[in-house]
Amino acid sequence: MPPENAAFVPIRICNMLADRTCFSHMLWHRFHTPLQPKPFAIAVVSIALLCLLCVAALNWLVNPYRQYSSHLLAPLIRDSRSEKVALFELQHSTTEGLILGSSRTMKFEPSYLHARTNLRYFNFGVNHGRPEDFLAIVQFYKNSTGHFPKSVLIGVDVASLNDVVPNDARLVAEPKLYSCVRNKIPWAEEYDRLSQLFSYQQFVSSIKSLRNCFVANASEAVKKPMEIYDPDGVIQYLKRQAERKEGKYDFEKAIQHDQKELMSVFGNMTKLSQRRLGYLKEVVSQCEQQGCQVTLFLTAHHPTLRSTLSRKTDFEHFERDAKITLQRIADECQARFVDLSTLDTFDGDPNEFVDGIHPLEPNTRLMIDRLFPKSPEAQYAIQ
Amino acid sequence: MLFNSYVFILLFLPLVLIAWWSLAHWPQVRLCFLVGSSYIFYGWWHWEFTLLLLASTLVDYYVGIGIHRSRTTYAKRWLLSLSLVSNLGMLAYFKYCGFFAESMNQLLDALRFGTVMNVPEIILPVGISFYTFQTLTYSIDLYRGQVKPARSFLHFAAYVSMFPQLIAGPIVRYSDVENQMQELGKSPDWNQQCHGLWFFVVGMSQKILIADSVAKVATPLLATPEALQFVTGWSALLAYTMQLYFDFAGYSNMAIGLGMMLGFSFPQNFDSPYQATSIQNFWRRWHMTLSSFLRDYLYIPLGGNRFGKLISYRNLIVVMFLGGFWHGAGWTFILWGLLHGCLLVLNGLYREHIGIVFPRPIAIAFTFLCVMLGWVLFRSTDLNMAMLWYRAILGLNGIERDLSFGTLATLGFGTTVFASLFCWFAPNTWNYRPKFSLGTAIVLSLVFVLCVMRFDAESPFLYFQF
Repeated sequence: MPPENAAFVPIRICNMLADRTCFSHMLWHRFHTPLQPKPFAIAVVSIALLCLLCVAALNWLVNPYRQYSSHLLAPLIRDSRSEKVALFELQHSTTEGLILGSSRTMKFEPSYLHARTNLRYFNFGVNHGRPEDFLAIVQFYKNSTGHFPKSVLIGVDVASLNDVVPNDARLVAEPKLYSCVRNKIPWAEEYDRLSQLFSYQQFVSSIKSLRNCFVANASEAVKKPMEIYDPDGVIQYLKRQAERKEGKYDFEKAIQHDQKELMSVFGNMTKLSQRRLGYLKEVVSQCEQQGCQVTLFLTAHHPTLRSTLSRKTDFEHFERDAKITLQRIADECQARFVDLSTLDTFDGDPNEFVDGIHPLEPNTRLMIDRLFPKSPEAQYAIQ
Repeated sequence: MLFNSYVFILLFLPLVLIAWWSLAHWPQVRLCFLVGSSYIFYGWWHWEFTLLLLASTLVDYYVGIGIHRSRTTYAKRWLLSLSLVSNLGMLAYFKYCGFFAESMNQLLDALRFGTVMNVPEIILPVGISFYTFQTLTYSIDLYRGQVKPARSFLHFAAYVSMFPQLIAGPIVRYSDVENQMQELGKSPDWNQQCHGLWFFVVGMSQKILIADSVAKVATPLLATPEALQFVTGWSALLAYTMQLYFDFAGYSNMAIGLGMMLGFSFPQNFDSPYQATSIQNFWRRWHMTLSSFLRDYLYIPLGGNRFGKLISYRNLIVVMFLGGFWHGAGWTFILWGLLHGCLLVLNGLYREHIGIVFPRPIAIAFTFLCVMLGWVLFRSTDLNMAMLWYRAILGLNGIERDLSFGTLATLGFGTTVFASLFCWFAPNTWNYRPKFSLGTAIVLSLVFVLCVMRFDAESPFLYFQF
């Protein structure tokens, strides 16, 4: 026979403590009184449902990652998509070219590109930018200006062609971009976004968001952003740049952080996503058909990170496939593809990275030099 | 579909339970519904593999009828062979083909013939090792005359595909559910429902709150086995030992709980195995349905212990070798099986020739150590990794010099120790009788909600790979 619970020591101790006060005695015995099986099962299911609904309601109302339509509180994290949309709207009439990509392209300076190409660019690199973002942004540009841009520079990360990771929820949450690709988002991803309402991570972020809103000191901290965007869309790493100047920046730690994240990405990835490659081809062919020159390039990794990823994951295999596929897309659509995946392809400096994946201006300028060599004649000889 | 996914918890399970209990008065419709929903559950990952499941079910159902109707032993044997060949053939193709080709290439390469075979890249259908064994037990039990054939194809299809135990066990024999399948017209037994909820939530918390937490310790350490040293090697080993137990025991408890919610009773699969006092005792407590399968369908037919000690020891090693190979197509699994076979033989020899009984804590600690050392082979992706790990725990890769409280915290020492204490001292889910009070309902609900909130870091069960 199994042991009786009355003999279970913690319960006996609680019984003893509860007997000390009348109220706790009443409460304890109320909680401890056996229920019939049916009311017990109903109680478990009802309480669980109620709690889950509360969690979902809190996450929806607070909306810490700006994934849902509620905007009661300021989002916990900065949302590059909505900020770039707002910045772009201020100057869309003068913008002739777009820089697309993930956060790895955010240091590509439109002013430096202007000197090279004589076109006014806007840096529309967004966090975790993937082909569906590029498609949405180009369509958004067309809707805003009535025509396609003259030039588009697309920095592709191998990780952005992941077949496992769903669309970034922040794309779905930005109505001006999402409306451009709404019919392309699989329903399963919409479901994923809704299921995130129950997530622990989001719940913790909602609590943090509430704290930031109601606790004075916390909100002061929030007011000091770590990064800002210039009017042309270029990112400024305020905190990290200050730490670098003071010699306090822990570069190794930053690389390790990327290493951990990318090992997980490439560990789960099984192949290049055909859906995302389809989006990419659609953007390139649309642009080229409208007389817009497209330049595709693969973004670079810091050599330390690169060697770790090559040793521990199938990164090299995916990268090789990505190069072949991007070259094929470029050939089919009369676009250009330039491989900038390693430092030696643009004579880069390993010290001019802010971490394992984000190059700083000296490196992005070298990349631009490689993409648009000084003599205009050489520009078309790269292919 | 994973038990620990939103689609399962928030959509699939509620719909299935509501429909299942609404159809209580129509047993045939109910069975149809159970088979249909189980195929949806299985096909969620790769729908193509439901055809494989269907093929296996069809073959064994008709072979079963044939065995039952045959009058001669010859015909029965022939039909049983058909079942064995089809099930084991399927397993051999999907699970072992690549391994054999790779091993053959290595051998030929060593003999300087070069690589001659293409290693096929075959996707392993999830749960194939489990359901092929289940269908095999049905054919063998019919051949032995231990069970009657299933009442209808639907009955048999429901037994094979029942979603709670389809992917990773427990390995349910037809005789376990035969009678329960006859009583499908009954309405819910609320006591059983409550126990089902209890098992399910306990299993889920074992998986999500404990196994996944200790996995965060083990996985990063084992990603770089060459960097392991003495303390990190042991930390990874202890963490993995806990992860494997709580992951698999958690799955089993969830499966048993789901079975109860549908009105079925499945056999127990774990009985606090890390409290075992010997290796023999360990195999009576760890993955009990597999152990009893190996005993009844391999060890005893090989002769068991009826032909003297030497033959029984040989049988033990053969059975454990095959048990290891069942877990995975790799040399590490084969060695793991052989190691356990040898340990069982040593255990037998010790009992026979020395027989000194150690105090219980010492016996538990020693058994636990042996089991842990075996997990190194079980977890290693190849022999090289196993060697690196063994070297680390023996101190041959050096000992960390800068150990501090912070380092230990980074190694997740607290989490692992908590998990260890839990599996050594907490009562087994089967032995603990919860009192169904309001307090228990609140605690159970809150644990459930906490688990559901952790689904955002979706992690499959370790035994799905087998």
